[in-house]
Amino acid sequence: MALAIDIQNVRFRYAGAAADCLDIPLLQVEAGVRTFLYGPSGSGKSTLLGLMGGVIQVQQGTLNILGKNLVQMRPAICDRMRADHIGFIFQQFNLIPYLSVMDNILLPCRFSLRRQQRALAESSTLEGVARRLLSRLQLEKTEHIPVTKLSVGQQQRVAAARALIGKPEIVIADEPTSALDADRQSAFLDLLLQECTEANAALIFVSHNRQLAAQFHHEISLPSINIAVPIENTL
Amino acid sequence: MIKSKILLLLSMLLTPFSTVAAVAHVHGVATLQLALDESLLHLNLSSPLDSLLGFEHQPRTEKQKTAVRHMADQLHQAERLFRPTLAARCTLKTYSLESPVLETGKHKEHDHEGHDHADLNAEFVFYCAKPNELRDLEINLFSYFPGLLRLKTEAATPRGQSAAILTPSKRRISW
Amino acid sequence: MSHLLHIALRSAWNRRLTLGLTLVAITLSVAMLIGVERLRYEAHRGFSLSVSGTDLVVGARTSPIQLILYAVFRIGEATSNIDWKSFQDIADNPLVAWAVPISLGDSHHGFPVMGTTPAYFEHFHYSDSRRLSFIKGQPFQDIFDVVLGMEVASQLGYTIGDRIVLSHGMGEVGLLEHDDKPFIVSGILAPTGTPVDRTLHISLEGITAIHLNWVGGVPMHGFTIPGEHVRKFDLTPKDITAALVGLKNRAAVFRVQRQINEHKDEPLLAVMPGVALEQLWQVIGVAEKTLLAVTSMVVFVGLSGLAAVLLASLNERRREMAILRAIGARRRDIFLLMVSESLLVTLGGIVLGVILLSAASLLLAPWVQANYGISLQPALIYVSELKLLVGVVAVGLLAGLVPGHRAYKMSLTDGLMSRI
Ligand SMILES: Nc1ncnc2c1ncn2[C@@H]1O[C@H](COP(=O)(O)OP(=O)(O)O)[C@@H](O)[C@H]1O
Ligand SMILES: [Mg+2]
Ligand SMILES: [Zn+2]
Repeated sequence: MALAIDIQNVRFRYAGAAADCLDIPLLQVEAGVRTFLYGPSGSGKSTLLGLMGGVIQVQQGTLNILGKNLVQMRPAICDRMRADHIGFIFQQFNLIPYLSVMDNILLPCRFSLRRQQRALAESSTLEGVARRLLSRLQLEKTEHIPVTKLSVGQQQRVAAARALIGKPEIVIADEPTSALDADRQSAFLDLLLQECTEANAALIFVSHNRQLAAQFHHEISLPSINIAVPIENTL
Repeated sequence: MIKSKILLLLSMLLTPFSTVAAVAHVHGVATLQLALDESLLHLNLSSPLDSLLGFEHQPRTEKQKTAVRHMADQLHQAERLFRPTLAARCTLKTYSLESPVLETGKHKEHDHEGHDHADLNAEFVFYCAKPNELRDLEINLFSYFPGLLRLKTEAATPRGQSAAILTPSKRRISW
Repeated sequence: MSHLLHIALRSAWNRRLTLGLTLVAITLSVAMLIGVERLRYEAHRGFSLSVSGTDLVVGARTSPIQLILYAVFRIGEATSNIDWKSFQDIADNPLVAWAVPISLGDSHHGFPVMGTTPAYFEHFHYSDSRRLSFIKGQPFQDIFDVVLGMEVASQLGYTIGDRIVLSHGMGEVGLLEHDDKPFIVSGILAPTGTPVDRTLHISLEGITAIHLNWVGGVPMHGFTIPGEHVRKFDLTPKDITAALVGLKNRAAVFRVQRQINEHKDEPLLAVMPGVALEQLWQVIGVAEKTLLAVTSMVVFVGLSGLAAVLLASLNERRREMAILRAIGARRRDIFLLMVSESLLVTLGGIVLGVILLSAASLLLAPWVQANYGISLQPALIYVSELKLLVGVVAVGLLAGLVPGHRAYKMSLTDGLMSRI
């Protein structure tokens, strides 16, 4: 099976930091596969996701996303890769507060022609695609509510719809359920998993709640694959 | 009237009789009057001799005599000093120069050891084959007379009257 | 690009209160800037259109600008009079084609009264050699006929045959009236957009007639000459305010000017109106430039305010920028977003400022015309103002560059900002 993500010997250190944040000899994620990523706070999970998305630039190693090496790639091309192939969901405040639910969902189609075309392959209008996603995520009635008036759970589902529109090959979710209570966590995860399967997207899902890991193909502990020595230990 | 107090104030700022400036004598400043009538372009230049020569008395030294000769030479070549719009095809028809320093010998008795002011008055008449094309005049006096700092021009053309102040960096009048 | 504009618009609308205040400041400053430029333009245009075809204006020795302002524009301080004999000498000069005397000093409801000869209606030209024309009636023929400028007639509601009493001197209140010798409207001139519109024209004899029994600016006590008897007197004027002179040959203008300036019997001043106006602009130019500089500074302050508001908003918008980055926005897009927001507000300020100014000039046009003799055209924007507006846009762009650059830098260090 083709690799969605292929990380080899990637080292990353924040500018001004005394030690490496990440040093990962190998991490591979196959296309369409669900991966559960966990690790203590501050262990570099979000940083790793940033590297995968090309938002944070790496200088060393191999960081292949869908077969393209992001290392040494021009920033604008990285941005294009991300827009075309990756959907992001964050812990909270995912939405642009002054845009409508519809505009928020359609944003990826504005920044990526590929996502737009893939969305239009499903339905004749982008709005139609967005509405279909809204209804599958049980958000039919929210279309005309200002995003700031939505509940946190609703906001996360709108963010999921945005990450999924135009069927990106990779969906990256950084603790998307941490702000939800337990019932809603599993409800949200069910919907997300269902949609990723539907879209055949590889899902990288970060969470502290290891109970959720059962529904994933793989479970990876970041500290176990990261050989960077935390600064406390070197002292 | 209360109106236009500003205009009034400004009009006071101007020295009275500044139109009579044609006869005013300010070193470094000369006046050029331009009139275009039918095919004839009249140019009337009046300048303190100081602006052109650097002195205003009869030439005494050999150097001063050369300066006077040099000035006259330049003024005899008016087509180099004044360049009307090329398309108007203007050629110098007549000219006359008038100044105490040019009237050799005759006016010696008026030369009061350089304390008097003296001027040069020159008139140039160009004939223009296509006067309708005549829209501007380039004036090169500044190149030949470095003592000249400002040239006040007044013009009367079929397009109306106008005035402008020329300087070594602005040498063209248009109308 | 258009999606960025859409986002910028929505974002600006979201912060409409702070940006709105900035917008008001920019609107007002733009209106001010354009207003100053428009007044300048109209003043220049109005003045240059007011005389044409007159080669020289002759009056008593004063500054050329004062003479032109008073004799042609009826603005500013009165000049002394010149002898009728001097006028005749000028008119007799073989180089002179025509000479029209004018006599100023009296008024009617604040509008100046001008004594002249019927030749005035023939020789006075304005704009591009346009002659005066009558929309009603004809030039004055009788001593007590008066010809009204368009604005005098329309503002005071006069028509042919109406009786008018002139006041002695110029001013608004407390003037002595020439009520013993009323005038009758014989004609109304078509509008010209020049001071002619605001002038009452009577014959020189009429001026002499109403002052027959006056000495030293007041009527002689207990001595009146009824209107019907004035014809028995010699009504040739003793002096006039100024003369408009036309020449047979334009090239002679400098010669005639010199001759008049060297007139022997009394000191005279001959002014080329076009030259005097040019000198006026040279003097006023300094004030104009200062005014323009000050209003430009005001615009600059307004746009600095905009830059400050955008900079201040950046912190609370970090999250927003990070989301856009995650979705695929390039760093350049983040930069453009800030710049387009700044441009939007600037353009909004320009549009509103221009509309505000147009409304104001429409409302104030009659007042400006009455008080400053400047006629404001009902136009949204003049071509001459465009370069200023382009300048405003350029500064607005600069104002956006600062926060744009900051946002660009921030998106570099912030990454996905998922820590928040
Ligand atoms: N923009 C940044 N600049 C410098 N250091 C950072 C930045 N973001 C995160 N870090 C540091 O990198 C480490 C990993 O952070 P992060 O990836 O957010 O961890 P996690 O998501 O696992 O909690 C932390 O020590 C954190 O302080
Ligand atoms: Mg994190
Ligand atoms: Zn009177």
